[in-house]
Amino acid sequence: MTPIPHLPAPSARARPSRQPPPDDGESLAGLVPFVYRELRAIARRHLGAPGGARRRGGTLSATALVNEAYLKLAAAPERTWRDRPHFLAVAALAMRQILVDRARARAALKRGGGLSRVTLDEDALASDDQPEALLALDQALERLASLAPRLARVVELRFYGGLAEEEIAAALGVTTRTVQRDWAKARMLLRRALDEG
Amino acid sequence: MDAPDCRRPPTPAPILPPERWHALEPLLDAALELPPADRGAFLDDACAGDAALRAELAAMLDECERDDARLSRPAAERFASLLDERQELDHVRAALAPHYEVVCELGHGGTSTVYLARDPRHDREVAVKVLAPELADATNAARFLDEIRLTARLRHTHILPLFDSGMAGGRPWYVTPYVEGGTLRDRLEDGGAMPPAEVLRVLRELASALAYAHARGVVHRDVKPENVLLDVGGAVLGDFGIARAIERAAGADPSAAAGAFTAAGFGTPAYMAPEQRAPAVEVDHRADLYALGVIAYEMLCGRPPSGRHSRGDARAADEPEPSDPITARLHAEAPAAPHPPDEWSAILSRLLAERPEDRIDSAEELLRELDAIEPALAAPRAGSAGGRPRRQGRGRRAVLDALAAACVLAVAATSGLALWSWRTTAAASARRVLVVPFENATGDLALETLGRMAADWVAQGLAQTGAVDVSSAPLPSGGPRGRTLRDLAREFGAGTLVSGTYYLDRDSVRLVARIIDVSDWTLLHPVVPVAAARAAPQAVLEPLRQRVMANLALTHDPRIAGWVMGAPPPTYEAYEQFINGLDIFAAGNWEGALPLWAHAAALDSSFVQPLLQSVFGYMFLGRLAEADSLVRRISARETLAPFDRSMLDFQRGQISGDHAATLASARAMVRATPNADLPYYLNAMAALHANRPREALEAAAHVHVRGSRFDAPWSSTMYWRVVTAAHHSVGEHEAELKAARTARELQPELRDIVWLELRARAALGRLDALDRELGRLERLPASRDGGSPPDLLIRLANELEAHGHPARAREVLRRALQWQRAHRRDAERHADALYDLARTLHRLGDDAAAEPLFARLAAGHPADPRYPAYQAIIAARRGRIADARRIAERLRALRAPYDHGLTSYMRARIASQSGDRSLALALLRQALAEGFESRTTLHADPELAPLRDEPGFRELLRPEG
Repeated sequence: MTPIPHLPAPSARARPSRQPPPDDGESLAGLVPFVYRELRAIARRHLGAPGGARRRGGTLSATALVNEAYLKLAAAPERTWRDRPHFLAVAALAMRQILVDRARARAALKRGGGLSRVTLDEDALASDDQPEALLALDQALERLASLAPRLARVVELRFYGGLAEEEIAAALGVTTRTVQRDWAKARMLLRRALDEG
Repeated sequence: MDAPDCRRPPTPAPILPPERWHALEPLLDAALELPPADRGAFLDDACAGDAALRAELAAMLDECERDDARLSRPAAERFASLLDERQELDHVRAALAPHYEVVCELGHGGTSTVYLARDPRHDREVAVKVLAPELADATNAARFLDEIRLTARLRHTHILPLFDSGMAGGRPWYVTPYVEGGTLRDRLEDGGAMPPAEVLRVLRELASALAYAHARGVVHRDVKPENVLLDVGGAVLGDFGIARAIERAAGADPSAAAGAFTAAGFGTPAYMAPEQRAPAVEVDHRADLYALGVIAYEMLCGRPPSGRHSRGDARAADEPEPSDPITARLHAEAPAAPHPPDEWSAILSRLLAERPEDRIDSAEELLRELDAIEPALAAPRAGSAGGRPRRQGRGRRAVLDALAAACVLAVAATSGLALWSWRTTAAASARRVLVVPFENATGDLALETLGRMAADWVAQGLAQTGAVDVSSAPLPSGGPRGRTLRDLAREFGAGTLVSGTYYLDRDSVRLVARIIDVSDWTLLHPVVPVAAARAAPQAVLEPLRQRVMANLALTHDPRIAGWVMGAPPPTYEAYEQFINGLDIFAAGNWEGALPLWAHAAALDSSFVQPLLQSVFGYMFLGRLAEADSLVRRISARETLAPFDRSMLDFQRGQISGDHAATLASARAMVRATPNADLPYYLNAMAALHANRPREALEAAAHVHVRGSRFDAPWSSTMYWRVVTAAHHSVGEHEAELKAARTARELQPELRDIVWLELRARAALGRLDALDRELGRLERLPASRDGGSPPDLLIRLANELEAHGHPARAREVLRRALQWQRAHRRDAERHADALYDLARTLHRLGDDAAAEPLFARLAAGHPADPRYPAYQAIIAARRGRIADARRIAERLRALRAPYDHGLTSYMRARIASQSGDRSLALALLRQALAEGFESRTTLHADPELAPLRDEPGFRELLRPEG
């Protein structure tokens, strides 16, 4: 007796099939802009939306960030990743790029003056060092890359991408033990580079 | 953004001399592999007395093991404040105050970040572009500002004017009008290829802008879809001269400029003329024409030209230009890809010529060429390439509509507004107003629902006035809008569009509505913005509605103004739950919607729509006791809006089976919202049940079935069932067939719709190609409450027999049996399938086989009156009249609540087969009075065949209106 017949909802259309994996010539860097936008949007959402802050207690989890981007982009028909490690590698690069861009923008704003912020708030002062701290770190990482490229990649994946050791091992095609050793060596070298000033 | 390496400084000094590191690393690795306790011995051994080496390695090993706070947390966490762009927004806001009040970030491109701001001096919204820091670093800011001031002198309808410029935090900024329509890039990404007529319009506008600027010696140099804004008045070219300004300002350091350009994605390769890619070649206005060619191609085909015309393949410039037209060449390259229509071939070839001197020489010449092809475009040919994209567009809309479909009743919810209507003859009438969800520019997803809520609220208000024809439509999927709003308005035949945007202004939400005249896409009324606290955004709704209605009263009908509304808007959270429920409902998850609606009602006890919606939900699910109890709860409320009251009466009538009351309340709903589809549909359905098929047809004619929510499969089916049944019961079978065929055009893939056509053809005796149609019916998908193939075949056989085709009827029944043999396992598992099989056997006269099946069903389902009823019918037919009467007597006890005349109807059939004609007639009358709905099947019911010559039976079936 229902007033409206029971008809099923229209079935979801099949997703467009994914393109074949990119050939080996496809560089990680070429895929970065796409992920860049997405990561930035996600970060903005996590940090910017009051709902987001409520949900996540106001903090940002690098792993959550990258995973959310993966979920969003994995199905994108026009972009393809060979596999998840490939995507994670791109995401780490994109995250590095975002942070460096942001740090430069922030530093430029500070240099530009006109925004003389007078504050005695310790936290605010501390966070104001962030652009310089990040840029220094990034420069140290550049120096590390010129000496030991794989070590720099491990740092990039772990520090910028928030990847676990196993994920890094998969992305670089080495053993987990090697990743652990590389990380230890990289940390030592980076410390030297940073402490040199 | 390009590869990150291009903007890093040159390789800095290494941390250690590489050869030193290469000597140390293997030793470190080996040591790290050992347990710490064994490392001392290893170092002693490996260093062989070299104390300095040993000390260095020991120190390094020590450092390797030491954690470093700077690296211990992932960068995104440690440097989260860098990712928090609100801080940057604060900086920009502070720098631009008090001249501009920055509202939110609109977008971020390679060259700049764009903010929406308010210009309080002129009380207008503006876009502020702040140059990206990378570019700011590489350019001389003062020279940059000088350069863009030159372009500020350009004044043209299709050039985005420059209002202001300056410096903030070391970064140059400039101010332009805020154009809400989005960019051509958005439009292309959203809708793909555009109709040739629209392409022609946009090209004309851009060509006229370029002609004007070129005449003043200004070359754009970065024409691309991202720089074309789609405003209500047409396409507007933005960022004029910015490329040149950056290049000149960076002139002192060419390498820095080059780096900045690459980094910023400037001079987007796909749109760059070949000469622009060559270093140190002075480019002229013809580079802009090349870019326009790429854009034209992309608008026509939905993608930029491929092959040699793609992404700035520099080698292409060295190869000779083939002489054949570009379209032919592209056909050869990728025959399956979309191609520009032939009329465009010559223009595109000349715009995309590799050498500037082979190109169309000037924008004026392009304008003349465009004039020349216009007549060819005005007469579209079937199957032309230009037609393809539009079909895609329709597909997209169909999906959207399907998603929106189940909300037909939701409709009811917000009193009629989701009553999406459509004028079949889509003559754009100013009185037809399309309301679309407002755009969320707050960046806060928690406020996403406000856009739909605002549109619903405005539409609801307008629908109740009866002075204008109101439609609502979902936005083209996500993202920035405006790009297809005009198409949408045209599809709906709307002459007036209500849209809007809302954004955050500190702790409040500001909502700006726009009323647009679709015919010339101009702003009919700018509505004064309304604001509310961010925590309670629903407070904007009532003032918004009043303002929109006051404005429309000026141009449309004075009755619109001052309309007194019923209940206040619900709280935001409640509405959000409610609307989430509608979405789930639309997706076919009726059970899942119920808890959301319950939650919505709990969040705001004055919000009655979720409860009304739940009643329909329970009715859909056949949970009538719960529906009934909820109706009682709602009835206990003191205040209900007139429409809500009528809807509740309708539901009560439906549940109790009171046809007269149901019809009266449906008519009241029509009076309450005279321009909505749903009340008319409900009126038609109730009229049919109340034996008023002509009233049903008249009401149904008001329902818009194309482009509305009634063109989704399930809603469409319910509509066409009513229409064809009404025609059938007044004997207008030609009209019935026509309606069924229209239904089938709209929904070709539904078993139930095919059946509607077959019923009409059975009545008309047009039975050609019946086998093919039956095969189709059997193959097509089932609908949730639609009949199984055997059920539909049995019902078709009834119609065939009643309309004088007994042989065809048997054919169809044998076919049903055949189908069931092929699906034998169904009958073993499902009572419904077994019931179908038993009925088929019975209809074929094989009662000996049918009887034990009915007995099995009756034993398994003792509360269901249908199975013993068939046992009784068979008993009567086999001469066991006393048995039949005894079973009929027992059936009285099986009458369950919400039976809606089913038991009485079954008893009437037994009486008919037992020869008790007057009793049968009395029981039929009783069944109809108790709410029996299938009056239109009675004339073909074979069990009632003995009554067909009875005057009382014919009287019963004669339409009353």
